[in-house]
Amino acid sequence: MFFDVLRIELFKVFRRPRTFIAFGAIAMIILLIQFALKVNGQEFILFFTDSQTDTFEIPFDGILNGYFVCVAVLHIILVHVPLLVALIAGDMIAGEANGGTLRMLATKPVTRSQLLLAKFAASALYVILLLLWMALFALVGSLLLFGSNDLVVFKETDLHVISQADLVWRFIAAFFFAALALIMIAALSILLSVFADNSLGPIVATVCIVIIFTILQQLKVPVFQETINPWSFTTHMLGWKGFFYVEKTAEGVTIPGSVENPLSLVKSGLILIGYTTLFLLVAIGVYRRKDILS
Amino acid sequence: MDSVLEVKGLTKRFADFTAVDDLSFSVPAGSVYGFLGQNGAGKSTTIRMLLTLIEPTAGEILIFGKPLASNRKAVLSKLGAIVEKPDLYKYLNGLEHLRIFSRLSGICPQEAKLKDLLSLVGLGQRLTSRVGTYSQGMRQRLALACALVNDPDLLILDEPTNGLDPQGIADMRQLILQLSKEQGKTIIVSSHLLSEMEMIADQVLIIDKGKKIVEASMETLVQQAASLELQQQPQRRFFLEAYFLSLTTA
Amino acid sequence: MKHYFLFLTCVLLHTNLLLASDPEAVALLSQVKKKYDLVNDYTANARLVTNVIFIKAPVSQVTVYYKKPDQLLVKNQKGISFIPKGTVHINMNNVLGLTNYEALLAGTELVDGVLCKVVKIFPLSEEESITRATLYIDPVQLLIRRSVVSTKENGTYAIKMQYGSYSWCGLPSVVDMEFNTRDYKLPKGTTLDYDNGAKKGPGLPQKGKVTIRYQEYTLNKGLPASLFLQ
Repeated sequence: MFFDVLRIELFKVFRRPRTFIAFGAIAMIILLIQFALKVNGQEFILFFTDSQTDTFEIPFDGILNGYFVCVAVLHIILVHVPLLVALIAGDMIAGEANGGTLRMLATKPVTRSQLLLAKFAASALYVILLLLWMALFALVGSLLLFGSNDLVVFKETDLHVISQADLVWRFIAAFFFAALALIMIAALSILLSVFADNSLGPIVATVCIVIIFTILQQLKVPVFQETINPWSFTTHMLGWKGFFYVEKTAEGVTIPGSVENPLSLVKSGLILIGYTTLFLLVAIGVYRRKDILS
Repeated sequence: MDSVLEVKGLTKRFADFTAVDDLSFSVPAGSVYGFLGQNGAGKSTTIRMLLTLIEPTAGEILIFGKPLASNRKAVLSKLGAIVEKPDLYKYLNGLEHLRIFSRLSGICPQEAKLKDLLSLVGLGQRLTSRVGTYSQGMRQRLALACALVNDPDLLILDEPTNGLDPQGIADMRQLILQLSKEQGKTIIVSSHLLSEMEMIADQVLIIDKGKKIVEASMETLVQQAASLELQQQPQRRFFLEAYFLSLTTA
Repeated sequence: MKHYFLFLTCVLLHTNLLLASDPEAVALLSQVKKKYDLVNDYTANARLVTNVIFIKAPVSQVTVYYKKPDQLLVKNQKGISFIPKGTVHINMNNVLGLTNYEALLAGTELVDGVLCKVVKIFPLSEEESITRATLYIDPVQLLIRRSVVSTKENGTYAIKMQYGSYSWCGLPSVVDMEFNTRDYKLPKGTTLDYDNGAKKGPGLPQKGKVTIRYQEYTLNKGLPASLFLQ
């Protein structure tokens, strides 16, 4: 029964024109970034390597490759994708309540938990498809446009060069981690959606929550860094970047297949799963007892 | 006659407001049961409790002889409903709605049956048109088709003629009678027009401020109305409404 | 005032005396140069390891191109390497090719168990990019085992060499080059890093090191000058 409900939810999601706005927006943004880097890629790289141009020959042409462009695209747009996820997930319950269709669904022999879980699963699949779409444009598209080479990642105080052969699994892992983070956003939106009777509220609330915690993180004020940030989901949502931070030997050589401090990634992943579970359990608890008055 | 639905001491309170107050009634199998009350009398709240949309504060609901609270899935699989106005997915067509609601009812949709059902409610020509292009009457008929998609034994229709033109109202009435007489379905129809109920209902329940005022057969009710010297009303329709008003505004 | 000028004249004379080339040093340099002059150009495959505190990079397979007198190009065959600008100084002809200089012997020192003569070189021309060089020369095999080259623009490079089958023409099998680096820091506000608890860079100037391990040389096949224009 659950899979029947899931099929129906997916059918509804992908019959709605608004669903494709996100796909269109992502394709458009990626194309614009690719165009900008094709034209001004060297300036972009110089911006990150300026402090080292006296000491090193900067291999601009090599750095500006498909993998680098893909990571740049992910850096720029993954921060904004929660909005696109909230557009769909925030609408899942509240949109149906507003449209009056929720009461029709709720009079069918499907438990409310099943219905909510199916809606969450549909949102999660939407997130995964959105990321696959992003991967297609950002990774495959960039590789076609810029070619392939080793990946250079500019971190705050160091830079990591990862050989091509060590990259594919990192991108797959990063996309999975990003999916985990965005699925958590979907769970948050659905939780907020349970309390609302129109979809605008949960969508705006989700985006506001993400913005507030991101600002707290960016402030880098000790009082927040020591208390809120270690548990803030926006801190752990950036975990996908961790797959592009490598470990090195004492001789300074990258260790293939390594990840800098993998335990922190595991911790971030568990925290995200924990939040997702918590949000879902609360959403189910509230929704099961909720009087449908819409 | 066995009862399909039995309600005992049903109560719903929203904070300090009591919407339904100790309501008890039973609906005989195969009947058309009129559920009347003025706006705000508690009809929709009661119907929502019958459909598990709202949790009762107190009381018991038995449908098909089983407690609704512990047999929700089994009961709802043999029940169809329209609750208030027919809100549907504007971006889907009629046939897609029926497919969705079939699956939600645990039935594998059979295209021919679904098309027959749409023809039964008069939408045979608009199978694949998006609901966004439907008139209010067409939406109401599609909502009825959605309620019928699982071939329910009990049909609960909350003000099904709302927003319909006279022809639409007549068609809906005809359809309700057809479903009751030809297919033996038990139908609960809520309305605030006693005269409307006179044409279709076998049994009537009138509530006011959440409390039961009258539960009687339509025949008995008409006789009671007649005995109260309300016949001076120019038309039969008006004297029934006058009687209804006398009951609910007392 | 008179005394002051006398003192200054003495100091200048003394300095000049100090900077006068040591004939033994010049002779040693000339013998070494003769050996290095056997190579007009070479192409060598090598493995390059960069050890800089803020860079994490894989071992690179590079090709080193050299053309007399001072052209040197290190090219990564596939992949990306951050190659220090001073890599050109791994070519000893940069120092040996100087014409206007003073050379002094400054004793002996053991380098990797080999007793070397220490020769200090001071270019006299203002146009030279090298301001000072110290070569540690193995007088028996006439090989430079170590060099410290100070440049006007890119600081000091300390280069250590090990020799193998190409020692007959002065070409090393392993080169270790140490150089000064500035700390790396992204412009503020450009990124929101994932904080994985990893230690941040020290934020102080550090020494970087590049190791080039040569695998094979192809000598004197004639390399086009255009190769070094890229």
